[in-house]
Amino acid sequence: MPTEVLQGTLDLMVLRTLDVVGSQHGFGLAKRILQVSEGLLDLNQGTLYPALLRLEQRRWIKSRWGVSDNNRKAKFYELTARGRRQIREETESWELMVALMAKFLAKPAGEP
Amino acid sequence: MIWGRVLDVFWRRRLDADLESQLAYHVDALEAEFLAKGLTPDEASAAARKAIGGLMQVKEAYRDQLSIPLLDTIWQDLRYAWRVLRRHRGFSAAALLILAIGIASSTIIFSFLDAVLLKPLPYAYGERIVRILERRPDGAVSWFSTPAYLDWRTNNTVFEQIAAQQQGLVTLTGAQDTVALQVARVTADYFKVFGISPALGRTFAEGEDTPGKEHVVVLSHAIWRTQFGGDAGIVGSTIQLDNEPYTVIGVLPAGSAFDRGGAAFDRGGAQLWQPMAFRPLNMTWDYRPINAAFARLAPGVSLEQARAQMDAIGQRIATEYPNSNKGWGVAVDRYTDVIVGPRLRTSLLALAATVFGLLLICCSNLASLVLVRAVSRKTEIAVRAALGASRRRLLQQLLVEHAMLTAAGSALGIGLAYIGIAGLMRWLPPGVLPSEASVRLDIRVVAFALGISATTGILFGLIPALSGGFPNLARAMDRRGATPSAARLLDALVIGEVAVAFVLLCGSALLIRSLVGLMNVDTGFVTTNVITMRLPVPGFPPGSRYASPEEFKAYLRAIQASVDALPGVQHSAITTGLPLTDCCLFALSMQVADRPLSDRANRGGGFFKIVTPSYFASLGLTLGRGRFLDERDRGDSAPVIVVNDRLATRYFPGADPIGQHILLPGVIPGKMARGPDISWEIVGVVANEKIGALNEEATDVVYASYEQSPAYFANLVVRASVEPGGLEKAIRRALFDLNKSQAVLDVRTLAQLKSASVASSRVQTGLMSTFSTVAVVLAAVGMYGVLAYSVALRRREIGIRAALGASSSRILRTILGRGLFVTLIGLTIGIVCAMALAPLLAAVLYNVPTRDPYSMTLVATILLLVALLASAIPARRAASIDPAVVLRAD
Repeated sequence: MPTEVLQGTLDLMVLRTLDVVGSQHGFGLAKRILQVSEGLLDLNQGTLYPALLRLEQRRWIKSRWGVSDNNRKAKFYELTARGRRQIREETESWELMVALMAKFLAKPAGEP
Repeated sequence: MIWGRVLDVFWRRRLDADLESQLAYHVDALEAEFLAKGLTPDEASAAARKAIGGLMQVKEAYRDQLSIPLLDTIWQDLRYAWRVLRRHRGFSAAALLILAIGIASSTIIFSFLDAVLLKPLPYAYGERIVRILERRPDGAVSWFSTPAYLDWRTNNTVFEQIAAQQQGLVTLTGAQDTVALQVARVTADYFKVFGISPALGRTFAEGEDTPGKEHVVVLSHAIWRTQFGGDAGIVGSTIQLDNEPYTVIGVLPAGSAFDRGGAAFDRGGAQLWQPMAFRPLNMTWDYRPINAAFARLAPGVSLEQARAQMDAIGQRIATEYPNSNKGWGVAVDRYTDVIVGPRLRTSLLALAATVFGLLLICCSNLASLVLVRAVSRKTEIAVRAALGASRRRLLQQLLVEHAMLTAAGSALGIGLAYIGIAGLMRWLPPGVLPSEASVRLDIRVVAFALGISATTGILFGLIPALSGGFPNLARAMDRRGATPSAARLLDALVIGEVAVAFVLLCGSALLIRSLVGLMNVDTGFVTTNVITMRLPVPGFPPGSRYASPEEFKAYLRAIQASVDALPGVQHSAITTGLPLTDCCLFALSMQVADRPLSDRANRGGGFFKIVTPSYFASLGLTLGRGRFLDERDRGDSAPVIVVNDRLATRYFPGADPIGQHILLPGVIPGKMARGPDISWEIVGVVANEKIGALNEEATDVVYASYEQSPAYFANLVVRASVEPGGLEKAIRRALFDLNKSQAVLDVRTLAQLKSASVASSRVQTGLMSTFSTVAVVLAAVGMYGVLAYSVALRRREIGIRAALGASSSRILRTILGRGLFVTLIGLTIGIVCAMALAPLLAAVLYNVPTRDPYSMTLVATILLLVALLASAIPARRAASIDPAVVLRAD
């Protein structure tokens, strides 16, 4: 069942994807995110662009104009040092959250 | 982090283009993929759009991310406000004007208050400078003698520096015209006391205040510019002062307190400084020619310690020299307290209170304007609310509108204040403010103005907002009129305005009464058609011009003869001191001759005026008894005097003073000392001539003739048969023909002297009346606005009443009644406030009770009439409402 993007998670997804693939343009990022989510994510690909702008305004990523594989002008995004730090912090807090939720959601022993 | 966003706001256009091209690329790439999967071009295009998810929404989201909501909407609001303010020109102009008046008037008065009361003295260690004088047995301060000063200087340990100052006139020849300049003769340490360094050259060196070394002079910057053309090579050159050569050693800095007159000068101020050299002939205890001593307290010495030590010194002097000093003491006062007396302080604070009241009226006027307009804008606001504007958003927009108005009003107000300060400084007669006060629109004053603006903006913006908020207010309005709460608030504002206007007008009325009283004080002389001038005569060494007193007397006779010969001159006379100036007279110590001899130090005080016999006729002083001085009173005849009425009644109550004798120390021409007692016979009693300022008490005065007691001081008094202004030229010419090096100074009519003597009262009365008149006008406009508005709102109701049979006179009475009711409440509050506040004005009033019932009644009547006028127009409009027209309009 495809899920809507949870508020705030898209940022981390984008950052993490950039972390893995290095420099990439918007279309490439969208494709990559959908690939990784293996069809679980129902993403309006357009929402990526406001997110990219937001991340850039926060100085977590930077952009430059480049040329894509098919020889067209495209805007390429990449992580900044701040962005990497942000990934670390966000990852930690996510793991914490996941662990926490897991504890609540785990079926207590003995319950049917 | 926010800055990234703020910057992006300005790159918006470019970033928009970025998005377009990125999206285009994205769509193309998606289409290419779908095509590759085997879809038709149309299907591929549709699928691509679906995957992206609504291009419009994406762009919208992107733009939201690009803008900062508050910043963005404020920009929107600013543009909207600009359009609204331009559309409602009447409202905007009124609000701007009111704001500008409020801000400008408070800024102007603050700049004066700041310069006089708040700023530190423009001298190094200004707070340690003190002024030292002698204190007479009756407690009044007095000039002092040379030996007293030398004693203080030698025996004190509390002062770091001490210097003496004596004012005088000196005639400059050989530069441009022959011109008399105000000189301060000072001891060598004078400039060190004040910590003043020259702009050019140097000031006095140690030892230059001794006879023989004193031919050096320091110029004020102003006189250096006007008399010497700002010649940079002036230092070292020689100028002629009283026909003696003086070397210019320094020029003081521009714009300093010394350019505006120097330390504690009561008349005009000094233009150049010479050393005061002490000569043996000055060394008498009972002659007190030195005007003031200034000293700087040594570090760590308090004023009380200095006073204690100087008291001790004064007591020792009193025992050692009882003839001159028995019962006398020394007065040490902080210099700041000397230059800002209680009168000036009261004046400034009263003015500050006045402009504060004016500011309150401005704020309340603005608030009612805004309230009234908020109501009339209800349709617009309702439409905007209906279109989805939140309450917060509406408020924000209105606040932006006010901020914009306030900013424009402040700019206008500060501009006006700048012009006002410059204008006032030009208009202010000299001596009203201490020369130390530098009144300018400086950073402090601008900061104050901005503070006032912000307060004003918040006040008038918040009053309506607090009353329930504009949007609420608008919603609560229906077509029948203002809500009770808004109406009550409007009434309260008008009541407040009337109360404040009443208090301000009362203050002005008191001052006007006091000034009128002053101008009508009996001066003893007839003011019309008399012109006066000062004729400086160099009689004292160095530079003494007359070989003998006889020569001087002959010169005075020649002056009088040639002036008398001029057409239009009725009488001319020469005197040592002009009326109303307190100037150039000898304080004397006298007693009735046949009573037990008392020491000179504790004899009666008074003034010794030396005059030519024609003085009485020239001034129009009336003779009470006996005769005036006349040609029979010559140097070789028995010494005679004329006394004033006050002296006659005090010394000879119930007895005939004519033929009585009075003992007075003789004046020795050319020397700063008094001679042995002379027994003078009283030959006449004249009316009390006003010697000092109009508000000063009468003093004892003795008149003697130049023939019997010459002294080297001369002022010319000319009574003409016509308006005397036109005589000035002819008199100057006559004097020039007689003596080319005779300078002429301060040519003024008696009427001018009279008005100059009440200069500070006039200034204060003028300013306060102006401000309170503006306040009354504003209050009237406010009342008119509120009433006119309520009539406009109640048109329908009034129409119905008229239709139901209310006569138009009844409607007229209703509206008038409301105006008068509100005014009466305002007046009642005003009277209570005025009763409480008026006594604070006591220090600046002359002969007027502070809680003056006449002034209050008059002011209340004026305000009632104004209120009647302000309500009459709306009331007439209400009475003339035609019910048919109004009811059909619905």
